[in-house]
Amino acid sequence: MSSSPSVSPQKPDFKRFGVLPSAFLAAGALGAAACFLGAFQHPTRTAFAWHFAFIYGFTLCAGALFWTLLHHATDSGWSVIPRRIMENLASLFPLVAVAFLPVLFAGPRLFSWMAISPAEDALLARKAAYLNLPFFYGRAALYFAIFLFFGGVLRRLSVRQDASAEPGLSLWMRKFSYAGIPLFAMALTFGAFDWLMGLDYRWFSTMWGVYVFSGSALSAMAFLVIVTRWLQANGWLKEVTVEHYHLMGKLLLAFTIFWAYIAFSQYFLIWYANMPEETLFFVRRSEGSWKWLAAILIFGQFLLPFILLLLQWSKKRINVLTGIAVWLLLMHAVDLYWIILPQSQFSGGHAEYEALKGVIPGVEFRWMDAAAFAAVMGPLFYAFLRRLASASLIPVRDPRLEESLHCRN
Amino acid sequence: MSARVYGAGAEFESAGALLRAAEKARDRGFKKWDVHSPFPIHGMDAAMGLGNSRVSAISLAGGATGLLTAFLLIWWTSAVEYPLITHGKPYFAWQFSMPIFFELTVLFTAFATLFGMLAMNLLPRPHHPVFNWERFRRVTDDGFFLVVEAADPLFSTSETPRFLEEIGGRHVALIEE
Repeated sequence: MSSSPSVSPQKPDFKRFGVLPSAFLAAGALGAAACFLGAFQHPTRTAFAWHFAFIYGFTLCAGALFWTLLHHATDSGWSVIPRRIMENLASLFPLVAVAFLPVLFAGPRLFSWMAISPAEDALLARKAAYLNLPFFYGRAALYFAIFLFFGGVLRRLSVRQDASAEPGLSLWMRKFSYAGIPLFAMALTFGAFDWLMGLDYRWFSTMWGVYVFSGSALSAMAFLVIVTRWLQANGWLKEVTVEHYHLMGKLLLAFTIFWAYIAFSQYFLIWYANMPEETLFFVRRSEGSWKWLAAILIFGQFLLPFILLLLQWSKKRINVLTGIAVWLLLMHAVDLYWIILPQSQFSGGHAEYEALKGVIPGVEFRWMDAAAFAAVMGPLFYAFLRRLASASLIPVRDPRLEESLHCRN
Repeated sequence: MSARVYGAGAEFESAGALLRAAEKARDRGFKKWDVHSPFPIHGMDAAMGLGNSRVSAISLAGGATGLLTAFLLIWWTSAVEYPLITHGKPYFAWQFSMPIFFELTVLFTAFATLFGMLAMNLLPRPHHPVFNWERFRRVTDDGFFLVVEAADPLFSTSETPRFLEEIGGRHVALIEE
């Protein structure tokens, strides 16, 4: 059952993107130069700023890979049209891996366990079988191998189907996705453990992987809404209807709730058990001006979008939905900033924290934050635009294209 | 015994025929009418010109009541009526209340939605005039029906059956109250 090509391939001319790609590249170059300077002037602060930017790009691409895997594994109909945008984003893991290299170099500045010997702290000694450099490097290589492979192969097969129209490729992509979902879940969970929970080797939360996953999936879906809207405003993707936006809006609502559910559950268990090595994470992040960021997260990443997205009205007004998606991408940045940056000011345990209370500053935005963000996200967005222009925006010969064209809520 | 007319009914060949008939009945401007089929038909909401369900307003009211009930229940019992320190936690805190806030909000929303839906559908209802029509028994098997009520302002005992025939209805009949 091969599909009749009811939609002609639309491959945007890269030149039609105007100055946008150059602007991304220029921002990336300026940011990278500034980070290079910062690495000499304030090496630790710059390392944390870079780590924040790297994790932002990583979670965005991981979320895109999740949606691509989910589309194939569940044999979805409606998401055939917007799928290529997710594939393009999920195929950018080579760049994410490059952005990871400075994190490796700055390892001991970010991950305090790298700077001390396990003999110095009993808490670290008990975890040394997991938290040691060879295993850390090996795991990172494995995670990236998984992300690179599935992000790459799913886009390659999908683009090949545009030309060959073989329905069998859809079955292949589905089989890859069956294998990919558990591997992806492991890689993202342990990546979140290694790169975020590992910032403080004393702290642990078994829900951490799900927490990072919920933010990843949410940010990628918000990104999809924005890119779709932008492409439509420039005359492409006329096939996307209000029904598609409504569906994307529903998923935004679902993942807003999911994020809040996981975030609260994690906080609730730690609050109730009240054990010092667990509570420091939240104590540290709810004092000084950090508590305002925490409040912004509760109201901004949950309550406000939750109430707005609950209404059908907001999901069917394309510009309102796009506005909410922009806001959610901003909130994802606040979320990661709130997770990562407090660690740059203080990396000790509970007793040291009690002694230093009041001395440790609150939120300090520095120019390195913006520079590192530009250095990582600029080239990433540039490469994304390149990808958009290198294949049809719609998988035009997908057997389920008709279903997607006429999808209804 | 002269019974009052409840409405005019017609049978259609298939789900597709019923869908097209519903579009024509909608465009004709009928207000009090309904379609009946053995299974739900995709796109029928739009074909009949039905808007969004208003049950959601009842659901919201139920949810708000549940949240308020949970708050008053926890706060009054543990912080006012019988304050007791447990686990070194405050008498009242939003953290430990949250699961109950959530549960009662969901519970009251579910009840409000279910009973609100039943009330708006005028259910339970042991009898309905359409059952007075012999052919209508096939609705649970292979029959697709469209019924226009006599209470509709556009209804007429002569015009409406003719209209139903024009849009492809068969076995058109007037149904008694």
